[in-house]
Amino acid sequence: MIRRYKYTFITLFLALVFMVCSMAGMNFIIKIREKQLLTEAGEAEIESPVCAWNEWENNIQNELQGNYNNDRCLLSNIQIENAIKSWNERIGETMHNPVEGQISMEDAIKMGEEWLIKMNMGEKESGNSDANFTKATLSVGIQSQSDEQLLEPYYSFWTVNFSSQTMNAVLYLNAVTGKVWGAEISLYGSMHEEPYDNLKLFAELAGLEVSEKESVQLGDSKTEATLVVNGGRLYVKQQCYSMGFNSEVLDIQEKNQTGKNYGNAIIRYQIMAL
Amino acid sequence: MKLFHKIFLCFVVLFGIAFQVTGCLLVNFVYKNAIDQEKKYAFQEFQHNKYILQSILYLQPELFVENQDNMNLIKNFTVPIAFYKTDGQCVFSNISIQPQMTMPEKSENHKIEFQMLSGKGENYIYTSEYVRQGNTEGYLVTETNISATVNRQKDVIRYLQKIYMVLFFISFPLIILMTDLIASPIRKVGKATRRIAEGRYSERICIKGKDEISELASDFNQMAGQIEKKISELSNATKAKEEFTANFAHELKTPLTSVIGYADMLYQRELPRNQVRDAAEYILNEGMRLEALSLKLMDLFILDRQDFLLEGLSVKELFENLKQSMQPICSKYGTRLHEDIEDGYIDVDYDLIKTMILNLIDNSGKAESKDIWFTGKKRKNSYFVCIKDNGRGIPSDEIDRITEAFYMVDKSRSRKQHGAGLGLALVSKIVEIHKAKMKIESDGKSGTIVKIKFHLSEGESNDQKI
Repeated sequence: MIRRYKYTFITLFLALVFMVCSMAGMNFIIKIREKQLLTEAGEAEIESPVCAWNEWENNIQNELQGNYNNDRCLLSNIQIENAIKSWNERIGETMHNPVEGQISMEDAIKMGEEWLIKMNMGEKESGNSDANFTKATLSVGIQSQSDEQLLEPYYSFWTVNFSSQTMNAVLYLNAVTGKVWGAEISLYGSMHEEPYDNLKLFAELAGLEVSEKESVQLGDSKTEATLVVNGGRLYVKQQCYSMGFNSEVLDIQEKNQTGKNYGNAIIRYQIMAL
Repeated sequence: MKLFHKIFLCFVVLFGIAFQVTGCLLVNFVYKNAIDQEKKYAFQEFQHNKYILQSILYLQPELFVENQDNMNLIKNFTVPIAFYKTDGQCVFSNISIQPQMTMPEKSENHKIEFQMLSGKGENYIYTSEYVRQGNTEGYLVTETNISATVNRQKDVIRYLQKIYMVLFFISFPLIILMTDLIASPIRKVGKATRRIAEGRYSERICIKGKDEISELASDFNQMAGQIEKKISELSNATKAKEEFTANFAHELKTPLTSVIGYADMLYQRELPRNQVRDAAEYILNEGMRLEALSLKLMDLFILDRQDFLLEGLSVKELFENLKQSMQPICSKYGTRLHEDIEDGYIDVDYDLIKTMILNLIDNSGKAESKDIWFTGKKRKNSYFVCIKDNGRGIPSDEIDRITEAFYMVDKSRSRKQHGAGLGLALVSKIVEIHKAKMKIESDGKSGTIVKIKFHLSEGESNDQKI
């Protein structure tokens, strides 16, 4: 019996030996590869997702000739729209170093502070906001459908955080213009102003054309207000939510009567494309 | 080791190699992608923490100038970091392992140095870049733990090996089945070969398909068919030889017995003159039959061994020449010869044709035929010779055997007429030598028709075509 099936047994034995050896061989190869991967060292050039801005040189020339414009860089309406759409529709953010044509972190912080003062955010102390800068990052929005091409520098935004005892603010500044194109402000305690009074100011500070004919439109829920700008191509939106009481935003009528309201609130400024 | 085992092992090796190579490439691809992803993540983390550090340095420009405890900084960063001054002095660190990294050039060219290290059972990616904020400059090193990813990949490898083992054992029956599928036709061929070797020549292989083994089986069957045919032919030839020998012995013995009997009677007894004459006549007749038998046998042997040169002859001339030889036979049997011959040229050996026609005329005479019609007609490339008589005829069931040597329809009458049963065998052989075809028709009552189809001579045949 054993003699008859001798070669069958030998074959099965060889098959098993091959199985074990092949597994060991594969493990050995993978181990070598793993070691290579996990001991890798070197230098990686981090390519910026945005390219340097060609129009930057023209602006520098203008500055040198004394034609300094308060608006650091003027963007066309289409560029503004594209930048806003890209930022609003982002599914993530890629941080990068500033490229030529983009403002520095220091500039972004200064412009953020100026914006807070102009918008009367936080407690005022001799014309200065008491809000302290905490963090600033420069990033570009990741789109759901990315074509792997380098973006123009105006697609980048500085996210600057300020904090004080009465407020936390996250400002989104366009990296080319340095204008605040979005803000999320958490206010603790009382709100000094009517919540939607600053919407026009926000649009003006963002460098958008505000027509005299256009007025602030209040939403049905009274938690948001909008203002059409740039000849109807864009609109700015302000949203206000109450915090802590888990209730709707304070009624404007009520606030008008009392002149003051109490509670924590979130105010969000946003520019949207129509 | 049998072919089955070899094929089985080949399949196992092929399966194993295919699986392991695919698995290896897949794991490598996934592992590399995962590590690349981790690197990207580490670089993003580095960028984020670089901004955090720059923000802190913006607020506290003298942070690393004074020798103060900065451990409360840890909470600001998302990953463990270390900060080295440009002279290499570490001013702050909460990273697990000190990497031996070459610090990147002191420039803001966005090149990040990275190093992957393992320690304390953990895997890390260290990234480093030159950072400057205000008057503070140095190198920031961040540490990203990638142990989770590495462990996940190890789990994938272990899982793959488990799958390999399971698939290996599952595939065993499948491999055996496939091996059997290949080896079984070969086994069938082997079995059939052995059976044929044992003498079972009718054995054939039944294999469907159009692959090489089916072709081999088909060739084998063809070969077996040929062998069977040859064996059958040899067997028939042997049988024919045995039959021939037996017939020959019988044909020899019959007259010899009579001759010996009569000779003994003449030798032993004093017989009256008339009885002596009868006995002598009998001995003479039998002797003549023996002589005819031996002559015809000699002719048969000669026909088998000799090469004949065929030449184109006119049938009409041939018949005119043969007429003289046919007349005595016809006179002997009292037969009338009628002729209707169209002239034509056929390739023949004159002597053989003469033998053939005389034999056929002699046969008709022996069959008590009163008339013989000899006709010759040309048809396309052929020449048809027809010899028709009105004798006794041949029973239809015996026509097939009539050309066999020593076969006689009526043996007693044939012997009486000095027949040896070799005439038609001789005719058949001559027809074969001339590459002609012979057909014998008879109903066994009213005569016999012998039709012979010759090919016309080449020149004659071409003329016909023109």
